[in-house]
Amino acid sequence: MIGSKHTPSPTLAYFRGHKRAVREGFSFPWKKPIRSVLTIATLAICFFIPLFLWTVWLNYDELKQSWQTQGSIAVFVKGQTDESQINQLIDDIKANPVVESAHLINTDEVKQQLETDKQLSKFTKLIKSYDLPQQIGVKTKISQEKSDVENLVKMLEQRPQVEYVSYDQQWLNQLQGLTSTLLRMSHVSALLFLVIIIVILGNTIGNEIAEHKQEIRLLELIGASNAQVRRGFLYMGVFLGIFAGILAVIFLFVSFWWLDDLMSSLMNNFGVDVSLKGLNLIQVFAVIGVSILVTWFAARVALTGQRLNEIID
Amino acid sequence: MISFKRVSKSYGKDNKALKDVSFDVEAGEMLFLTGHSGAGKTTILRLLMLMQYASYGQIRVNSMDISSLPSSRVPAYRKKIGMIFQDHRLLNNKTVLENIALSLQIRGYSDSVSFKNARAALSQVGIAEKANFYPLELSSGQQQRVGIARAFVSKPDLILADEPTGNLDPDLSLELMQIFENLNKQGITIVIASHDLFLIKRLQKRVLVLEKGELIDDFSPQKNIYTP
Repeated sequence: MIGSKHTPSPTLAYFRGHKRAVREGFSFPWKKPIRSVLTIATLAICFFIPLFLWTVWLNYDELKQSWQTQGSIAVFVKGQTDESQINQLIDDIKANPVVESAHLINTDEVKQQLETDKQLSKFTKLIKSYDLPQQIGVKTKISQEKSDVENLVKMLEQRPQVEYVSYDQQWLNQLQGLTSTLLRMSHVSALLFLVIIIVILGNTIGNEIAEHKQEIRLLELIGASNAQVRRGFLYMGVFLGIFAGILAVIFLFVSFWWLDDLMSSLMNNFGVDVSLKGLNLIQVFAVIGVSILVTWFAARVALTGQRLNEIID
Repeated sequence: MISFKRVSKSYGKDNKALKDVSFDVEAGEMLFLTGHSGAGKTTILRLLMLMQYASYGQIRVNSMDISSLPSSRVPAYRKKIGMIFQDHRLLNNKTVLENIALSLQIRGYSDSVSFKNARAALSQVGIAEKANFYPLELSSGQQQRVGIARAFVSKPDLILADEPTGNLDPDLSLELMQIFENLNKQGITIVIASHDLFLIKRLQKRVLVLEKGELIDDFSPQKNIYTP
């Protein structure tokens, strides 16, 4: 069976080598369970922090999108304006290419809106009578340039029938700034924690190599290539990555569940009824995939630093 | 099979482990390298295993110049050689069978083929019943038999043994030498570094005598055996 004539093909040998390396690499962490659990937990925290910021950004970004697509412009009409003038104004607004729809909101509707608002309703109950202006609700088209919407607002402000135009530009700018900061923070923290992951895995793999020095030396003497020796350690990195990714996702769901009430009440203060959304199944698999890639890459960097071929002498 | 041409190996300026050593070994030959400690026996084996490179001269194995073999080709070269160490170098966390099979697994053989051949090799060295033992549960002689089985299980062209009987009593040493002779009869070239003159005399094989890094004698089996 054994001999030069029966030597397995390089491809077959390659796949068998990987199969064994998977078995071996996945068995390393089980030999020292407490140390492995601590390493996985540390890696999971490293993944969790950028993941948390990114997911919060996803939530806010989605919220921002919905506000932007609502494109709410409120045009308050002067009290003495008659109905035909208002209708003319609505027609003019609708003719603008930026506008999706425009309609008159009568005073009863405005009253109803005020009464449903938790905070404003307290004041409206105290005031016996109040005059409300006629209001035209304008919805802009989705994906309009900000400058076009601003031009529309300016044009409306110049109309003699218009008392006041309300456009929540400042709030949107602030929200955009907040979400951009969150995204940037998630990028910076991802980069920072990538370095930490490389350091942690470098240390873990360095310890494993030191403990398997005799084995590595022997493997090299009986003909194992550097790649063959490295494979087991690379798969160990992948193994740690799988569990660290899963744990990071668990951390994320737990923290969202914990923060959900707080965030909801905070957003309610701004008149927005939302709750934090975690990741969907595809995003969960993507996170675990990324964590595997990161730990594999970190293990490779760590192994390059170990210079296995120098162990032999 | 092996050709040393004016090979020298030095560590630093003044420490010369081998000085201008030349010899040839035919395929299928079995020979001993002997001499006192520090004579250069192990250095020759280390050069042949490419654990070190020669400072000067040329070493050819199977017509291939290994003096300047790039490191990427070293594993493939080592796969054709079986190495036996004085300290056995067995992995204590693996069973006897796993230790032997490792040599075939590295070469890409399936687990079933590797273990089947490992069992056959273990039978050949006479300790088949110890297959599932761990190295630390074996005597020194048994551990060395495992080391020998691991070296020949992959049917190498060449076996290099560094003081294989170093820690063993004469009877056990003779038994191990009989294993080497049997392997040699199968066509494997065997180079043994040993200072056990009793054994060397008994086996009547070619002997290269080294002293302070120089090859001072080359006795063939036909001639009278070297007596210090």
